[in-house]
Amino acid sequence: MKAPDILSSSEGKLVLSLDKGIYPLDVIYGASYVFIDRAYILLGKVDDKTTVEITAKNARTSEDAMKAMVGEFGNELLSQALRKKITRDNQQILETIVSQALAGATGAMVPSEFDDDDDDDLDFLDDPLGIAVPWEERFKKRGSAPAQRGPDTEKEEAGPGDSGGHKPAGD
Amino acid sequence: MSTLRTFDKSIYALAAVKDGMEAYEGLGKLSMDTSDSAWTVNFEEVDPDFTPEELASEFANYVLAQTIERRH
Repeated sequence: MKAPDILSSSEGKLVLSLDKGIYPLDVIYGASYVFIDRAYILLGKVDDKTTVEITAKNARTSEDAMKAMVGEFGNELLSQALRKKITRDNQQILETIVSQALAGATGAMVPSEFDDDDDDDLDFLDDPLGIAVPWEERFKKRGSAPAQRGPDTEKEEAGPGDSGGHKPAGD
Repeated sequence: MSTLRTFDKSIYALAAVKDGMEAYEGLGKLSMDTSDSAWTVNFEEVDPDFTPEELASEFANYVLAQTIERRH
């Protein structure tokens, strides 16, 4: 890739000439945007070439520093050109990923095992697995009187599945 | 004393130039001329805190940034 031509150089100001075929406008925009905090950038057009006028914000910038800035600008142009190429090459992959993500977010990709068509006749109060049955009812000994409060009460009343979480008091 | 900045129509966006004129109108008297290929902004009666060249250059950076942000 050809380096930018320096059209003129004077008092902290450089004018570059860039071939449109090598440096598309998007690439020049990208590089200019990066330099906007360090220099004043003015873009123009002469014949088939784009001109870039770079003026250092600091008036004391030396000639060498300006040339270094031009070198950095050239590197940034290359970086932006490469970035553009990678984006173009991977455009289809990017679009596929984004479209799948959007489809998933809208619920279009829900797997069939999550369809609850079979449970359509269930009310929200139905409890086919008995989850809402209180612990006392589930493990109460039929025909026995309610247990009295005491140190051994819990041992007698403890049933399968008692993990020590909920410890109901006697009635 | 006045200073000029020319913005090529194929590079800059008109909305960005107009936006810049609104943003900088408090810092000087700005006027715009239009030709077939470019818009030229004239800076006069610039705020004494800035030189006309400084204001015009800052304005050009602002218009460039606005153009880039509008096109991406």
